[in-house]
Amino acid sequence: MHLYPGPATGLALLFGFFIVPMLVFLSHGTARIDSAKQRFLTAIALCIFAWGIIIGAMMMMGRSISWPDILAGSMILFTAIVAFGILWSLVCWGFTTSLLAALCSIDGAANRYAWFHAYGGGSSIADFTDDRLSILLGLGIAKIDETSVMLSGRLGYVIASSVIFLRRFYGLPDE
Amino acid sequence: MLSILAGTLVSFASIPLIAVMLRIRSDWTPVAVFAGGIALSEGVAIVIGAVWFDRFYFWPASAAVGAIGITNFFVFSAVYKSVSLQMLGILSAQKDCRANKNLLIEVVARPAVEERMELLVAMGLVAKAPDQTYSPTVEGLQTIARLQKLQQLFGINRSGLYRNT
Repeated sequence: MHLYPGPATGLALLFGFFIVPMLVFLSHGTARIDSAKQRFLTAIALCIFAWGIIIGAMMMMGRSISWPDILAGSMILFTAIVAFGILWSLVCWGFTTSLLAALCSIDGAANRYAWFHAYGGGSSIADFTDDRLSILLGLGIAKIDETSVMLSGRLGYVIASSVIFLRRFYGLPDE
Repeated sequence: MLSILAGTLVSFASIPLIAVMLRIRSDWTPVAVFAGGIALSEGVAIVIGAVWFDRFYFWPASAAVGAIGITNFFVFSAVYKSVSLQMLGILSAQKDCRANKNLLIEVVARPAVEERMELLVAMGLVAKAPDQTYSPTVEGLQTIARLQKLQQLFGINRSGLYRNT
């Protein structure tokens, strides 16, 4: 069994973990990117770019790098991006953790209304619905008019059907 | 390339196994089921490689196991917890796939908020008083102190709604 990674795989392991210091770098000082989404996308783009540049430079200098090695390296980078993406979304937008943080910020006990008011910074449940709906509208999966929300074309229907299928596949109860 | 293929096949085979385990071991947390499933895939891929392959490459096989395993977990967590995707499910069940926004508020958003509040109570992070008011427990305060340290490291001033970050 070969335990040593090839050059593309080894570099992917390095740059996969490098996403974290890159995110820290882009979070402070003059390099700071205000939008959390843009910050994450920039960090992963820089890591992929650096990985690709180094692989390309090594190949141009005559170093033999096999395609399975590049494929394995791509999969390792992909794994790191998805794993850190899940953690990043939990830290930035995690619903349950944000609710807990909001309750901790209130002085004394709170009823549900006051608790949610603290979570949304004064927003109502309707504002929260709009916030979550904005993802679907932004992706073009749903559209909205003055009174109602609807699935948008074939893409919306396909994705909605996929969600229902996947919930059943994983044994989750129907909505 | 054969090592990548072995990791891919084993990992795809683990997807229905994980789905079955999620159904029959509902007392286990989903994270534990997925972590166990991915670790088992890795173990099986290594055994197959060590026994049947003349030249087995550990990292390419592991890369395939990791990529498919994390994608499976990502898809599950999206359909399990995402409020936005729950809205899609409700819309598709309506006539003409169209619903009044109030329906989304009452059927998806409000129950989602209330379920999460009660989940925090069940986890022991929030205490619920007889007068239906809530306050964080010591454990809840410690959890948030740890989260806030992480948020400071990443310069996140406020979490929660997408538009605030």
